[in-house]
Amino acid sequence: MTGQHLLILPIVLPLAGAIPAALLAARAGAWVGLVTTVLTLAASAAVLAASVGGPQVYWVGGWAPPHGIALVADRFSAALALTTAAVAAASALHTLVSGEAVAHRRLYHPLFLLLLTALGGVFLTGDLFNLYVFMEIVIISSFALVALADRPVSAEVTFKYAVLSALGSLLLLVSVALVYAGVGTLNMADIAQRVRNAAAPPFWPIVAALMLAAFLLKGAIFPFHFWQPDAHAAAPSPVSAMLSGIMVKIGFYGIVRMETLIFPDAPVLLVLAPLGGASAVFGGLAALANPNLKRLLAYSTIANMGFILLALGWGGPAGMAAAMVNAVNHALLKASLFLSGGYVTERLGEQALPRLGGLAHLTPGGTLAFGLGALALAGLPPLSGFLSKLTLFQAGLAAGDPALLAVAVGASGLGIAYSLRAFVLAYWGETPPWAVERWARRAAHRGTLAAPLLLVFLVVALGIWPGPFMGLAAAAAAELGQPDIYITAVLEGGR
Amino acid sequence: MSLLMAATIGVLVAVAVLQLLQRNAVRMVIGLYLFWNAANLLIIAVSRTRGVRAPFVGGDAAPLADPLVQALVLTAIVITFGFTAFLVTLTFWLVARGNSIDVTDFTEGRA
Repeated sequence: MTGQHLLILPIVLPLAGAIPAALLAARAGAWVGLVTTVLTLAASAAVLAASVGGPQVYWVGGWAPPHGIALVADRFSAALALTTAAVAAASALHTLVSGEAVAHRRLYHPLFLLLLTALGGVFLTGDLFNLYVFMEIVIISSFALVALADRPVSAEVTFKYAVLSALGSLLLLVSVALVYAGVGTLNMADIAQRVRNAAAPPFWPIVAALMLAAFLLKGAIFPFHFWQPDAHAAAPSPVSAMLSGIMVKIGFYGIVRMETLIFPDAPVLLVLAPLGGASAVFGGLAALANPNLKRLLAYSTIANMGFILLALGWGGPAGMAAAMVNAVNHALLKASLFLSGGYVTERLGEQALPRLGGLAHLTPGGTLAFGLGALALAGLPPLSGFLSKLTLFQAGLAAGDPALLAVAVGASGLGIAYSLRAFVLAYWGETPPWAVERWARRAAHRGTLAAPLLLVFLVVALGIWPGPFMGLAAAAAAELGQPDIYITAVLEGGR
Repeated sequence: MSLLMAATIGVLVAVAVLQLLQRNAVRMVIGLYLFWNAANLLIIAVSRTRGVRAPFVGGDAAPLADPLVQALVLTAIVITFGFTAFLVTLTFWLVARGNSIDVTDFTEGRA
């Protein structure tokens, strides 16, 4: 594979894999899914390695800038694409080995690969309209995946999720049209250059507000969160891992591109830090009060997106780095929690925390995976969740914002409380007799816990050996702090 | 012309918002469909379409219509169709599964 076309691989590989996955039977489709996601993971790792030497740019079809469509991988987008591929590979492995009902649906595997294609496209495209199109593919494939769980509530949950996602993408489409009306280009680097060299059009703040609303809706930030817990709790576990781990990060990615390229210094971006604080507190309280294991995890995602937004709002190199560390960590550990927790709730057919209990006697491996994941979510050292909290507080100190820093500390306290509550209620104590009976009713598959344990291993490894990861986050933040690097690479590199 | 366009978009969005605020799932789908068409009209409206020539390769150098906008709106129209078809199917599924199409009857997340 030549280095020249490397950048398109994380998009093309899963798309190519989706075709045999659609044609083959479900079991073979699951194998195709696993092989394709692992190949995509390798390609994404190669893209990240290449992006360390400066942003990589690929002009699709060889059309030169600024008319062609560019794929751009700076450290930031390459790291997100790699995280996406890692979570997708773990989810595909889980689908193959855990014997969850949805794995027997033939449609599931091509849809999952389409979701991965579109996510790679969202993170790697340098064109705003392309971002919109890939986002549509992400949401349409994710509706179908949520619906495939085929639970009694699936129809209404999917309907709610579909209508609200449609509204979000409509807001994005309108704002993209207005961006084009304002500056006459859709290439993000070109937009950045034109906004900087000439006065922005008078309606620019309104466009910024529309686009921010779209990304806040995608990111499930309070008060735009209301669609999220239903969809994330009702989806099949490997899909929940993708939804909660990766898809909400599209909002984060979009806001970073707004902040650094399209709308630098837009007044509406001042709401980021307060909304982040509100989201962290709301998500934490809702997770603490919720009686359902998967909904608790979903609300915790709202809280963690709040932390990411807080860091973005604080800004600066420390804030950007903290946002990135939080985003990657949360993706890995929330995916592992959804896989290990989802496996248990799926096998028992029960998600209510008051009815669960004593699962440690049934599944020691699952207890290890969920327990370490919960401790990481709480932010205890030496797990990688601690790095999230450490960088977040450092960013707050650097920004000199004692009020919101206090909110962040309080919300982290809520995080410890709800993580331990979920773990203690579900896994400690006596096993109820109905659970023992239902557990024995279904034969265990070999290696059922491989996927969550692999992700937990990553979480532990990043916590014990944080050097390269923190270095990457700091370098990516420095790169984002100087948009000129991105702009020059895109506009000059192709000539 | 641009006034007519602006008025059309405005009326479409107003009707769309009114439909989206209804309790009936079918009306919500109709509302989204109208909203999408308003957005597609907006894309057309941001470019000059009158008094210009169609952009053909090798054509004369007279003022040409912006080809990018036409490509954008074509893509957006296709997405509109696909998305609406999915939403209609989903509404049908709601009915087939015995769920109400009155969204205030939805139960998940109440507990």
